[in-house]
Amino acid sequence: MTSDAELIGRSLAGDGEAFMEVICRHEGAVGAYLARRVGREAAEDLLGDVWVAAFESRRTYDRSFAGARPWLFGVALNRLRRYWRSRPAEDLVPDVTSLATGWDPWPAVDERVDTQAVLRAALAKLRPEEREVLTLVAWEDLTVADAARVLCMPAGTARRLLHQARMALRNAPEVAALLTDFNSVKESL
Amino acid sequence: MNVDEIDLVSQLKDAAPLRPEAYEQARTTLRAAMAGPGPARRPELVAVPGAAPARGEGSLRARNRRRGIGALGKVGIGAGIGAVAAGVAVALVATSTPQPAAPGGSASPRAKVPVVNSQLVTLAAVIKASSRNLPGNASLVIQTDVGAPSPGNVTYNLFTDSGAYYGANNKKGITAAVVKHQNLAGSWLDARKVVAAARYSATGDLTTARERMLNATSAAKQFERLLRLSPAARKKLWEKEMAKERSLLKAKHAWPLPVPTVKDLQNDINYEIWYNSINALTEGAGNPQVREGVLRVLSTIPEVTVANATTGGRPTLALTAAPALMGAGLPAQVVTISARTGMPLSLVNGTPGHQYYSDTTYRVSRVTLAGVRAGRF
Repeated sequence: MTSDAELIGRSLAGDGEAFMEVICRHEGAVGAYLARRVGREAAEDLLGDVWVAAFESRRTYDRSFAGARPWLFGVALNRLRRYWRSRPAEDLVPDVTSLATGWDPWPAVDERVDTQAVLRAALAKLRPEEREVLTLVAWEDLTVADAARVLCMPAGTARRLLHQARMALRNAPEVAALLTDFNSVKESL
Repeated sequence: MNVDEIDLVSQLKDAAPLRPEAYEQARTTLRAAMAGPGPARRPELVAVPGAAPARGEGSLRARNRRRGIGALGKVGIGAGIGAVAAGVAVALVATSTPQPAAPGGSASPRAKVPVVNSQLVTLAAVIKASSRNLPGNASLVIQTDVGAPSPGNVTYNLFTDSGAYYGANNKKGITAAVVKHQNLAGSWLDARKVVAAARYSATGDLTTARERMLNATSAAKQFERLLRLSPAARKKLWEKEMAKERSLLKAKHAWPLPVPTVKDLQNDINYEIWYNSINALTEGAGNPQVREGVLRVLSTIPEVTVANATTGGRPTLALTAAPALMGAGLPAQVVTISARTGMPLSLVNGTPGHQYYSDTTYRVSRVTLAGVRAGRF
């Protein structure tokens, strides 16, 4: 299969369909990435802007990387930052429980809701860059090196941030309790 | 295996999936943007018989306009058709009987073409007279989007005289790109070809100059071949090609296109020349010979008009490519150049508030690669 890098190269030469193919390959992942961070409605509004920004900056794509997904996540993150900056201050209160509004089909399942609320609260307390690395790895299934590409930072820095994020979560009493619960349940099975 | 922090956080992974129409809408937004800024390509619609397979700019395309396909302008068909059309190209050579050139074939690069914009030729002569040795060994073109779709977006483009290209979004980035040898030029990047065509055009025969500019980046000979066929032969070949593309057109929710008229093909040829010339002008603007050549070539296109203007108090020329030339329902494209040096200053598509609107400014300077590498520019 033609690599993303080669398709981007072709698009730079005027082959618009080549870039569309890159988009088609990753639109599901990038759409989900956005939705996890701002919810479906805003994600749908932002996705087109992400593609346009990616198209306009494709000349800066480092074609030594065959796969473009981390780069596209990076473009999406930049767009998200603009989005967050444009929001009223009251919207920036980390109301993490609303991240997946309209999605959870079983909101009445208290136990799950409680677990998620605890985790979201814990995530909200992390430093932004720690949270970014952690969620890129946990949600987007990226390697730490690819997460570093998204965030334009050295891989070593991303590794350190991931470690810090894990330690912060582990040291949070509510999360530690959840880990204990999960692992004790597993052991008893 | 124990559950760890990452496993726990993964539980928050689920999110409401975007609706299929949202993905389609996002792609549509992208297509509109792709058709907008810069001397952007018109939408690509179908394969044209007689085209050679090629990478990049050479991808097959034919544009349609004045055929009621405005909405379809956003529908593109990829380069995958290349192999099919390549086969047609071979068949065309083997089976078609040469026909007299179609009437009104002045758009054909081989036909003798008159200069229709003497003002451009005059400016070309002024540039020639004032040309001196070029300083530096590269041109830095700083491109800024001042209007939609992404105001404030800045691109640093560095074109070296030896044919390398570096791109970045800021000064620091362009230095880093040079330091890291991130030369993006390749067989797929045709800046050297259009610039070479422009340099030839500075002093060469205008008919040949048009031909070189036309073929600098594309398999555009397809238009000329079609133009030379008799109407009956053109219709037969076109319909045969449309039949081959039926399934693909259906998948794209498109429909077969009518046979292009002579005027369609003339505009296709002139549009290619316009597009390549403007690329040459922006990419090779640091070289007066390139500017001179571009102006001479553009002087042959009837659908390009020239008007005196002022920009920031300086005398400028507004070169307007009429919608008829752009086709596919796209608006006029206006390139503003210095009336004294021919240096490109801006490129505007359409008008604010309307679809396809974009406004891009250019700042061109000559630099040395060593200076850029050291951050001194």
